Amino acid sequence: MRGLLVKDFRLLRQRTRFFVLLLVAALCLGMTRQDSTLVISYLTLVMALFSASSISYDEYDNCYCFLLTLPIDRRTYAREKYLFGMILGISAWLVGSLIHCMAVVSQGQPAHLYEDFMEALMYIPVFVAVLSLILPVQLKYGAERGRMALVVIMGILAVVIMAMNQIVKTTGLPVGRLLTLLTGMGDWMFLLLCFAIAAAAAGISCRISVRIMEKKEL
Amino acid sequence: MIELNHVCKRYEHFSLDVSMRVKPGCITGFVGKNGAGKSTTFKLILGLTAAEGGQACVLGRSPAELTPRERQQIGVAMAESGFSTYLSIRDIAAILKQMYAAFSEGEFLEQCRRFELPTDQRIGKFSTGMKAKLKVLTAASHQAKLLVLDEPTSGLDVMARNELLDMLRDYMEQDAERSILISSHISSDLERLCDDIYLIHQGRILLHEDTDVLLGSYGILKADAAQYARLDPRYLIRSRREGFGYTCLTDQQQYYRDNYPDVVLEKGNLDDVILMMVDEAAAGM
Repeated sequence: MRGLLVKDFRLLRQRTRFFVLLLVAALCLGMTRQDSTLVISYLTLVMALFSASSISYDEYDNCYCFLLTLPIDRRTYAREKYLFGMILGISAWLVGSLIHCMAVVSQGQPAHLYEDFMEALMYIPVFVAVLSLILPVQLKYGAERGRMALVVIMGILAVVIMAMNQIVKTTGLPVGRLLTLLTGMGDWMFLLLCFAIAAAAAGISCRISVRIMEKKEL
Repeated sequence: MIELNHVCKRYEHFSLDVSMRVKPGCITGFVGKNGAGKSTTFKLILGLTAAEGGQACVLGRSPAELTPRERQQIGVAMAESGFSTYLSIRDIAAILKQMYAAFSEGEFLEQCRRFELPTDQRIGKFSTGMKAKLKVLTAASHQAKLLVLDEPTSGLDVMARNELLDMLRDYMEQDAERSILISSHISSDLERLCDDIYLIHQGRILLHEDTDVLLGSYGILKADAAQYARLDPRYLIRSRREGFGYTCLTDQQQYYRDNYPDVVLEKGNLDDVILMMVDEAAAGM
């Protein structure tokens, strides 16, 4: 797996200009919006999208074929994409948090830091969930068709949520009680629950990705 | 090293059924027209696509079951696939260093310099010949027991081709157990390099012969209608009607040289054999 990680990081170096621009944008955002953690979510989610681009690099020039003749198995290939994505996401989260801290401290508002930190931590499970959705779709359909597939999946999700909302209204399910339970469980417990759900989603997603790779005909 | 026994693959307009063997210590050539099934066979051997029937065995295992450790013993150069063209040779060296236990970064970079490949430039900026050289150097960089090379000399000039072929000979001399499976459109390369040659056409193996036999015993007979009528047909593999009479392929040229001295007999070469073997009209006679 180390070889694949080296490959993806070496490919990442090709996009230095993009990262400089991203950092400049994040700094501007951080300095102008000290009251919110937008810069952290911005950097983290951009990285979730960007980590999937390593699949596009492998797809480009039909590199897949050759890569899978190297001493790695398909399972490792799929897992590496998750690890690479996580490394990028967590790094972006740390950089975003650092920019936000610098902005807040420079404005003399350190009192908000704890609340901001709790809010920022929530972006990690969100990032993991986004990554868990993007990677199997990209591996299954490739970069071009993958984008279309993601749009379709988002549409389906929206319809499902609306349908569930309608069912709750018509059947009178005790959703209110569940919400009360969630809001009453405390910040850390809620956060832990979100992390657990995200970890489960990542596990399921990774298994799906491994199966996609194992069945892939090249 | 490689054994395929009626390995099948079916597509909508093409089906493959191949049996072949690559023995330890041998260089085996694989020839055929575009679309004959060479690349599909390579993919089946490398486990990139799943066979629908038959048995495939590479280094003693089914290709799909090869472990990463076993894959370290295989070096691959593919005609239309390789490392991302955004990478440089230095990047590739760093990747291979992590992948292969027997990879020597210094030796690899030295070889690249010997073949005049810039180590810090993106591969995308390389000429076709430079890319071809890099693919072979990469395949041979980690002391693999088996090299699978799909069109490795494609796009190379004569000098570079000779250099690469010499490199492959040196590679074989270093270890008597090593094997190479190589495909090429340039028949003369295979004639000079290979111990035996397989000819594939429309997904089937049409011919398998030792290169010495192919070059020593095969021949092309050129006979007018009267001569053709007198020819013993037992050793004629293919015959084709021409303006002057008939062109025939034989694997017993000495027999016809001795018994038909008036018939023109040309020494066979791989191109002639391929042309005659894949000729539909000749096959029908």
